[in-house]
Amino acid sequence: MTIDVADVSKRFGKFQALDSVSLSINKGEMITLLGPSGSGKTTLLRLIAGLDEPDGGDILFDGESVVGIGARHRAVGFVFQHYALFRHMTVFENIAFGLRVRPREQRLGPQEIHRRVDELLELVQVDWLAERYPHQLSGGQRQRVALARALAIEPKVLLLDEPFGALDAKVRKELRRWLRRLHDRTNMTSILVTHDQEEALEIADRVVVMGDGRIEQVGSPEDVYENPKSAFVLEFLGTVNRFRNGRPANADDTKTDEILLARPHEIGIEAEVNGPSVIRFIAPIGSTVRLEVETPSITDLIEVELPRFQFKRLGLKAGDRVRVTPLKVHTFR
Amino acid sequence: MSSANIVLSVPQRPRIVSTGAALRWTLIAVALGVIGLLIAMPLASVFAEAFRQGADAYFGALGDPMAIAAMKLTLIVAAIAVPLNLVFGVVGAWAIAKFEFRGKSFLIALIDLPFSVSPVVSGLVFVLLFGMQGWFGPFLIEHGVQIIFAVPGLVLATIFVTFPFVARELIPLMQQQGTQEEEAAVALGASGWQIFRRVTLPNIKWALLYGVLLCNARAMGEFGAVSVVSGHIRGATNTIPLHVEILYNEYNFVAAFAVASLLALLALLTLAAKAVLDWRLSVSPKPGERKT
Amino acid sequence: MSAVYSGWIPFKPKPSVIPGFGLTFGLTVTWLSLIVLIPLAALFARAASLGPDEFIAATASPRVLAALRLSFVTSIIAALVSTVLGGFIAWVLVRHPFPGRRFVDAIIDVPFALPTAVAGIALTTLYAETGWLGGLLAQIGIKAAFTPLGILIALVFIGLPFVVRTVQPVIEDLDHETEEAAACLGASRWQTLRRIVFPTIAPALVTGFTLAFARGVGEYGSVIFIAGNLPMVSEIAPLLIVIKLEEFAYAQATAIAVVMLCASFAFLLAINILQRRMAASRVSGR
Repeated sequence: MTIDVADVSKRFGKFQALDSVSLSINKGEMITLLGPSGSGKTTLLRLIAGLDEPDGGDILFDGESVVGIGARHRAVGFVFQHYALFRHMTVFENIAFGLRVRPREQRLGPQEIHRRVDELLELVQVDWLAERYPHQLSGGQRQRVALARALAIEPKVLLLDEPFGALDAKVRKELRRWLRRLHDRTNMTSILVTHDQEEALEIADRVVVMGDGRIEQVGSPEDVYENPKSAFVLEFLGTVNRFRNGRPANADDTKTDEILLARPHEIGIEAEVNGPSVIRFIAPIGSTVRLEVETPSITDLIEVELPRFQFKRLGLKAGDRVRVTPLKVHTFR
Repeated sequence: MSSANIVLSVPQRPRIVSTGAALRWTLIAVALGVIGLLIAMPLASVFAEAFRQGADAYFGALGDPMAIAAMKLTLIVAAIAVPLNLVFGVVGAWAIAKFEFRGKSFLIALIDLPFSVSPVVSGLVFVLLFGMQGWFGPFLIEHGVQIIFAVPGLVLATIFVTFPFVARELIPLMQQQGTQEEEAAVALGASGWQIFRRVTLPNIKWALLYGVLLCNARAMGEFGAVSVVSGHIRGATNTIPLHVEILYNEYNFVAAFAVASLLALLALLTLAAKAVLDWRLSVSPKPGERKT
Repeated sequence: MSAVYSGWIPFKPKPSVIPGFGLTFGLTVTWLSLIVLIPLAALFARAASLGPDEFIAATASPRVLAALRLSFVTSIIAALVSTVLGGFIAWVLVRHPFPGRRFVDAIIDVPFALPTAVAGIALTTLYAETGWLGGLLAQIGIKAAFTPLGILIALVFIGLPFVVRTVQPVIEDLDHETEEAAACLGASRWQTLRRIVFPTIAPALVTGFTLAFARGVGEYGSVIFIAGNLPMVSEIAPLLIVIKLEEFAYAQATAIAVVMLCASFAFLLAINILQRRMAASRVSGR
């Protein structure tokens, strides 16, 4: 199913949550909405689901407007951040719920429902948990059940609101790869909301970066990372250092004459006996080494990231005097 | 990394799964109607009836010597019962909330027991102990000690029915607050009394105050239990609620409601105090509560 | 953890650096015994000292049985009415904010704080045929005061806040997302209320019901004025105890009190077991 969001706005009291946002999503695409809290990404997701109604603009499913149609009739699968499982029902009953509340004439027979639920349990790999209650499950298992429950009604689009936000790092990584494989199998249009840039870049066909109720940039993960359209996008996608006139600058330096931004791995560093900067801190983190460098004229420390082998070759240690230069810079006006 | 664009607090989203406006206001109207008929109107009628014949009749009824005697007696009974239950409520809450032991829930159930006993039975048990045909009654009367149909009986029955109030308010709060602060105080060398006075008491003072107010309201307003042990001797063993009953049964309605309005006022003050305390508690977050 | 504690001697605390357990526990148990336990024990000792014949004679009279039946039946009905109305009021208070809600919320507690005798005479005056509401009811041919209906009104007045205050926090804790999830899955508002919301607040409703019932069965002050107190018709068990005491028929009063306590205890125990069964079947998975 294609989804078109046309000029959609939404206010909550004085807060402009969405400011004429437009977005087209192709059939079978996996989209992530990425942005800080308050950027409007969850609002956009809830508008698409029909959990809220837009103040202005239109939302179209396969070219037909769905504004005014409640969530109940939109046939969307929605996965909540905190799972929202029905705690008085077993896993099986949770998944069967959407099938059992259908109008009588569309409802499947009990055996058919049983078969469908068993299939879904197998699909999300929790078939041995069917008779458990939600409070007896781990976070990862709960999220799988929530996903199976959303898939039970055969939705045309799957909407996920920070689905892995409450899980620990390892489970989160595992689940998002599994979700991507599941998406590739079912080929359902999917929209995932996250504030985790790594997650957004890893899982998506296209990333939508949002800020302050607007869409900042839409593009493939590669494109968004390599060619950020604004300082906001660049800064949201990771740490950046600022330079001005080829020299390091403070983050709050907003004079627009040639502000250059460079990521930590886009900075060259070399030892220099009377160099202007000093290494203050060295953190070896896995395959890379992160250095924090102090430069006299500014208060911010410059962050430099080097591959481990290069760091070793340079033989740097804390307290050494060095010179840093941006190798690749992003310029914005 | 720049964080200037991050908005920290997003206003609460209105929920679309809510009810339509017409139904919504119908539901509110029905609920208000039930509360109005069942609760607000009886309360209002106390004051309406009390002032039915004007302010003079009202204050005349309050100034009646028998009414004043009843007020004095009620104050005396409350002045004995409330402090005793205050002390033992705090002591009991300390033992229950600050220590782990087997049989704790059993002990809590015993403390709650007076709540589930009919007030009439609460009076009856003291008649059985100290009445003329009671276990200790004949012995005590021989030695000139009168408990039933006298002030000590009123006090005992009042202590019985108000027994759980203070402990009941304190135990959940103190359990929620845990023992870390007290343990820290021990580590810093404080004595038991110092810990209570300087660490625990400041944390529980509002709940304690509310417990005492509730205990006092019930002590002054208790009817069934004191009715059984009082003997209804005018000017001697009639508390305010008993005096109300007598006036009412004599068809002296204005006087009955005038005296009753004092108790209604006490109830309203107690509830107002509760509202203020609730507000205070909601302003200062409870310890251990997450900020969101 | 619990395995470690299971070897405890009853009432012996887990070691703690906080002082004062011996003192506070000792004082609590002493005071509790003096004020509550010994007097209540006296009641049962007294009842036990009656011979079986005496006991049956005291309780099996038609008047006593009628009073006990009236007390239990009106308490159960009143608790049911309180549960329905109280659940509804709690829902409206939490889910449908309106101007002045805080004030209305505070009013709910009036029956807790208002002395029962005051409530009793106020309800009687209000629902008597000469009263504001009794007059209206009389016009449609309903006599409230001085009938069992009056008892019911008084007991609903007393029971309502128990239900509201038990159910309200549970409704406040209800997760909006679960209801939204149900809507996304195609459930109608009614299906969501019936299948998602109701099962979640049902245990609180049951608890509210038992509290309202337990309070209602023993209620005295708010009932005796409005009841009419006609033997066999509108005379409640607690009043009969008082009447027997005034006649110095201590044995009879004791016997009625014990029957009343035991019956209400048995009823509450039955509800409790039912509740546990429901909870247990949930955990073990049917």
